[in-house]
Amino acid sequence: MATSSDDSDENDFIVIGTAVPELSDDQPLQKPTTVQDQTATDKQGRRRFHGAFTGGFSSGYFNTVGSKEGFTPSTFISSRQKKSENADKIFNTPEDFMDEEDLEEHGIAPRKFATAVGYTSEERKRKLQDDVMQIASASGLDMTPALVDFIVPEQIPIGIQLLCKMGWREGQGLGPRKRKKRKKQSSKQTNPSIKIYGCALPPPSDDDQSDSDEFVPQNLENIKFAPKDVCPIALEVKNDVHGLGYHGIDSSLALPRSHIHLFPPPLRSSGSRKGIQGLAFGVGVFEGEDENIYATDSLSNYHTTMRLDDEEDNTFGWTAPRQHGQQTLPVTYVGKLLEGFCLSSKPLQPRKKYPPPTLPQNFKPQHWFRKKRVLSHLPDNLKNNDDTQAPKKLTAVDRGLLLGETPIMKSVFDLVQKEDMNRIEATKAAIAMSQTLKDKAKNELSSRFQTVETHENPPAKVIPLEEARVETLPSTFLSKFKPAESVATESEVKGPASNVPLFQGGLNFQPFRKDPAKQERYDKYLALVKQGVKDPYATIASSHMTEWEKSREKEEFAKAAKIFRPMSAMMSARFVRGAMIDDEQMQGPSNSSRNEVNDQTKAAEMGMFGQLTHEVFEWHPHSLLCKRFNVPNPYPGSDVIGVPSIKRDKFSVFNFLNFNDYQPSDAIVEKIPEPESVEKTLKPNRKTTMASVFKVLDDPNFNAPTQTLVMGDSKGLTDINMSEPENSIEDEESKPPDMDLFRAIFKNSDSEDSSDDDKDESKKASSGEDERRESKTLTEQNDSDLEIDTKDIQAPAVQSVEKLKETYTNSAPESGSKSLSWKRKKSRFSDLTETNENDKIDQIIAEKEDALSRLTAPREILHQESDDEYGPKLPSFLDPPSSRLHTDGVESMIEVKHSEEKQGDKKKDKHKHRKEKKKNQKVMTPVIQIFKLNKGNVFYLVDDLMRIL
Amino acid sequence: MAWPNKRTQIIDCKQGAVRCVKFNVDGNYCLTCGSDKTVKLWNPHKNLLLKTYIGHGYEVLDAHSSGDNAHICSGGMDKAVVLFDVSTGQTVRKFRDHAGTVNTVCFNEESTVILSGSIDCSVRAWDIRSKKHEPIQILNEAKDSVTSVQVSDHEILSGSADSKVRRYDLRMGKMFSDYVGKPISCVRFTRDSQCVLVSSTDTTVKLIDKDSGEMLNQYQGHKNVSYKIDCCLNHQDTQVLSGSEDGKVFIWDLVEAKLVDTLNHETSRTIHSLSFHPSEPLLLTACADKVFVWESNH
Repeated sequence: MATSSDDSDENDFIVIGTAVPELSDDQPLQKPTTVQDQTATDKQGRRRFHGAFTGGFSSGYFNTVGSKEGFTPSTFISSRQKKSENADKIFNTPEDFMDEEDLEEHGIAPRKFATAVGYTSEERKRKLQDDVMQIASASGLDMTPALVDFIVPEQIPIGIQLLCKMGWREGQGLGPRKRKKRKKQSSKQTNPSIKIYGCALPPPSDDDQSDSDEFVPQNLENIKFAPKDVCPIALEVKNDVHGLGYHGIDSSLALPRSHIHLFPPPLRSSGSRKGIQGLAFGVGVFEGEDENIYATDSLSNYHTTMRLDDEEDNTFGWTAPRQHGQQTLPVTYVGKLLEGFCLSSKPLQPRKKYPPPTLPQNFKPQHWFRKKRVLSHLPDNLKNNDDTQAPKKLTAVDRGLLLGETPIMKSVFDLVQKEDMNRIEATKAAIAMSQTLKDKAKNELSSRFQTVETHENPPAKVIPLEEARVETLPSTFLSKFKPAESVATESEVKGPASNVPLFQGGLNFQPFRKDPAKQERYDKYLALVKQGVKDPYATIASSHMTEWEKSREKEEFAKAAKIFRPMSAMMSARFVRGAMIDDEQMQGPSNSSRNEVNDQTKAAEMGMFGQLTHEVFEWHPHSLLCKRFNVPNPYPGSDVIGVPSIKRDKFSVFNFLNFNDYQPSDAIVEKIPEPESVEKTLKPNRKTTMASVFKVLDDPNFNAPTQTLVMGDSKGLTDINMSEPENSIEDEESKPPDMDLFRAIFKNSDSEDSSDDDKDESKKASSGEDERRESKTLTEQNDSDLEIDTKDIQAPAVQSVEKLKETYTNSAPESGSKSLSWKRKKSRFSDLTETNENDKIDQIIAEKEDALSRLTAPREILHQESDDEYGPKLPSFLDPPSSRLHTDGVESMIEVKHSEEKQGDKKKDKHKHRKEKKKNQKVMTPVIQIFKLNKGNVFYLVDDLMRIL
Repeated sequence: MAWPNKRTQIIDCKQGAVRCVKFNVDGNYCLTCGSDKTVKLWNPHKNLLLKTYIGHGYEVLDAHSSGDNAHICSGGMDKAVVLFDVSTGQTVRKFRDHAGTVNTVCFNEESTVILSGSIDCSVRAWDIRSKKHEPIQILNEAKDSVTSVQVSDHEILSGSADSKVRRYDLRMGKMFSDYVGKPISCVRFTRDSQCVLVSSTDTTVKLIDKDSGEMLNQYQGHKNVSYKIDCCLNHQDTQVLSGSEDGKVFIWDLVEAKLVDTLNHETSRTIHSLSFHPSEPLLLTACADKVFVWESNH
C-alpha cells in the first residue's frame, strides 16, 4: 500500500510500495512464518483442509449440535392458528440441515451462479423450434418440413434483451443517464487565478463536457439524458516497424476457420509465471483465489501508460502535490501537464532538423539506370547493340570475346575431330563419286574387272578407296563408318593443326619438355613412326650419345609413344565398335567368353559332349562339410571357400607395354580394309580367324586337309610341307605352334594362361575335338592309338595353311620383330600397300589348297568307315554342301547366326524365353566387361605414366 | 528282365497336387509332398497313410528321408527347409536362408547334412548336427535355378536351369561342370557313381560320363519341354525311366537306348515324379493328386 505524506512544502518525492516496518532495537527479529507453519482456518478457527481433504462434516458449533449461542431445543406448539407454521418448520430439504458454512465455497454444497434453465443452449434451440412451428401454423399454410427450415425467427441476443429490460433503447449509448450541462459551466472549471495570454487553452477534455455543444434548453436542465451512442475509438499502440496503416497477413483471417494453429502466437509475457501453467496445478491455500491463473496472460492486464484512470483514485500511490504542476505551468506550454510531473526549467535543445532536398522542377519519380556508365569500358560494337535492345545474357563465347580471347569454335562441327571431319567430307565425296562410278560401271563389261581396277588404284588417295567400298557395300557404308586412319595420319604428320585447341592437350603432350633437344628428337621419332619408317630411332639418334644411352632413349621413346597416344586413339583402341564385331578385333581376349559360350552351345547342339562342354574348376569345400561327409579336406589350411574366382586382368596394361619398337598399332596406323569383293574372289580362306571352332568346322577348306590326315596320310602332309619352296616354313614349324591360335580355338577361361600346361591342354583339346568330329564313341580305349596319331599330326596340320599364309605375308616388306603376335601380323597383312604382294600370296595359297583338296579322299567312304567303327552318324550339317566350299569367314559367321535364330524360333513357351533372354545377357556381358577392364586400364596407364615421369 | 509294368495301387493322396513322391531308403515306405503344405508318409504297398507332417508355410516341393528313417527333410515354396521327426511328426529344425523357392532337398549318406537346391541359383548345405541356422556352405556357381540335387558319398551333383550339371567332388576339391544345352530338369547318379543321368527340357535323357563329360547314351521318345520331370534308373541300373508330359512313363534299355516299355497312366497329364524301389522292380509315379504303384508281373 502506498502511503502519502502530505506535507506539501517539503515532500517532492513519491513513495511506491509497502514500507518496511521500522526496526526497534529492543525487539528481536522475528522470523517470518514459513508456509508449513501456516494453517488455513475456517470461520470458527478450525483447521480447514483444502482441496481433496475438504470432506467431512463439521456441524454445529465445534461439532456440537448447538450454535455459538448454545443449544436451544425447539418447542412444540400446537394450535389451530399456528398449525401451518409448524408444518412449514418441518425440515424436509437437505438445505434445511445445512448451515451457511456448508453452502460456502468450500462447503459440501457450494452455491454458484449458473445459467438458468430456460437459457441453456439446448433450451433455446428448442424454443426456437417452437417459435418456428408457431409461425408456420399461424401462417395457415401447409408447410413441409423443408420449407419450415427456411423460417428463421428473429433472434435477439440475450444481452440486448437484458439491456432492453433495463430501459435501454436502440440508438442510445450505454451507461448511466446524465444531466446535460450548460456550455458556460465549462469555464467555471478553469482556475480564475491563472491569467491566460494569447491563445486560449483548449478546453480540458472531460467526458461530461464532450457533448456540451448540443443545445440544451434551460428548462430541461433537470432531465437526464442517455449518453450518446458513440463508438469508442480504440487507439492501438504501434509496436512494429511497418509503415503506417500497413498490416501484415493476419493468419487468423487469411487461413480458413477450420485451420488448426499448431503454433499459436505466444500471448504471455514471459517471466511472470515460469512454467507453472495449466489445470494440474491448483491454487495454494494461502495464495487465495487470485486472478484467473488459467487464462493466458496478456499485456492488457497491465498498465502500459502512467495515466490515471479515475479521478477519485488519482491520489492513490502518488505522493506529488496536486496543484504543483498547475501553478508553475508556463504560458508557452501548450497541453496538459501530467499529474505528478513538473516542467523542467532547462528547456530541451530542439532536435536538429534536416530538411528534405528540394526537388528539381522536372523531376519524375522513376529511376533510370545510366547505360553509358555501365558500358563505357566495352567495345563500341557491343555498345551499339545494347543501346537499342534490352541487355541480353552473355554466353561463354561472348564473355571470351569481351576478355579478348580468340573464338575457339563456332559450331558443333568444330568439336568433331579433324580426321572425323575429313571422313565426313570423304563420305560426302564418296557418295557423290559412287553415283558417277555406278553409271560408269554400267558401261563396263564385267563387275570383276571393275573391282580389280579399283583395287589397283594407288592407295595413297583416300577417296578412290572409299569409292571402292561404297561400291561393294553401298548400303552399309555409312553405318560402318570405319575410321579413315590414313587421313588422320596425314593431319597428324602435318603437326598440330591451326585451331584444334579443344583436344590439343591430349595430342601434343610433350613428355620430354624439360629437355628440348630430346623433345625434338621425340617429335621427329613420332613423325617417323607415323610415316611407317622401319626402326625410326636409328635416323634420329644424335651422334654424340653412347650406345647405351641410345638404346635407353629408344626404349623410352617407344614407351612414351605407347602411352602418350592421343586419347581418342586410345579409346578407339579399347572399345569395339558394333560394326567391327566380325573383324579381326573379335579375336581380342574380350571375346573369349562369348566364344566359349557359343562353342558350348554349338557343341551341345551337335551332341559333342566332352571336352568342349566339360569344365573343371578348383573348388574348396568347407572344412565342416568335409567333416560331415567323412572326407579329408582336399585343401587343408585353405581359407578360400567355393570356387576361387580367378579374374585375371586380360586387358592389363602389361599386355600393351611390350617394349619393342613402337609399332603404330592397329588403332592408329593406317589399316585400310581391302575391298571385300577382292577378298572374295581371290582369297576364300583368308578370313578364317579361328575365333570359334565351329567356324573352322564349317569351313570346308579346313575339313579337307584334316580328313586327309585322319586317314593316316601323315607322311603326305609332311611331304607337302617339305615340298613347299619357302625356307621359312621350317623355321615356323620348328617353333611351337602359335599360342594365340590355340587360345582362340580352345578358350578356357581358367586355363587360359601362357604357361606350358596350357599348351599341352590346348593341344590335347584340339586333338580330342578332331577325334570327336571323326568318331563318336562310348569307349575311348580302342582308338587311343589313333588319338596319339592325331595328337602328333593334327595340331600342326590344322595350322599348316594358316602358317603358310603368315609366312608368306611376313616375308613381305618388313618382318618387324618375331615376337609380334599373329593378330598383328594379320593387320599388317591387310595393309594396302602390300596388295600386290598379297595377290601373289593368295594365288599361291589357292594353288596349295587345290593341291590339298586333290589329296582329299572322297567323303562318303570316310563316313562309312567311321560309321562302321564308332556308331552314331555325324550330324548332317557337318557335311557341308559343295556350294559352301568357297564361303569365306564372314559368310560362315552369318550362317551361324541364322542357325541360332532358328533355334530361337523353336522355343515357344515363356519359360524358354526367359532362358533365352538369359543366354542373350550372357552373350552381352563380355562387351561390358571390356568396358570395365578398359576403364581400369586407363587408370593403370596414368599410374605408369606417373611412374615414368 | 523284369520291369514294373502293372499298376497295382492308386493312392489318392488327398493333399492337393502331389509335387513329389519318393521311396525311403529301404523302399518300405514312401513320402509324398503336397500342395496343401503337408508331407505324408505312406505304406505304398498297402495303400496306407501313416502320418502327415505339417510345418511348411506353402507348397512342399521335395522331401527326402534320412538313412536311419528317423528324419524327413523337405523344402518348399516357403523358401524353408524343414526337418521333421518321423515318429513324433514334430518340426525339428527349420532352415530359412534361401532367397527363393526350394526346389529340391537331399540328405547326404550319413544324414548329417541337408543339401537344398533353390530357385535362388544356389545349393545350400545345412548342418543338422549343430544348432546353427546358417548353411555350412553355399554353392552358388549356378547361374539359374537349381532344379535337382543328388549326393553320393563324396560328391554333390546339381542340375540347374542354366543348362549345366555341376558336380562338386569333395575329395578332389574340384567342381566339374558339364554343359548340356538345355535347362536341366533332373540329374541322377547311376548306382556305380560313374555316370550321371541328366534329363533336360529338350526332351532327352542323357547318360553322361562323370569324369570326361562325354555323352554315353541318349534316350528319346518322351515329352519334356516345360515341366521339371524326373528321371531315374531301375534298381539294377539296366533301365532308364523318365516321366513325360503325355501321361506316360518311358522305360529304355540303358545300353541300347531302345524303348522297352511305356507305362500308360490313362491320362494326358504330366507324370512328373518317379521313384524306383531300391531293390525290387517297383515304381512309384506321381500325377496330379494321385500316386501310382507299378509292379512287375513277370
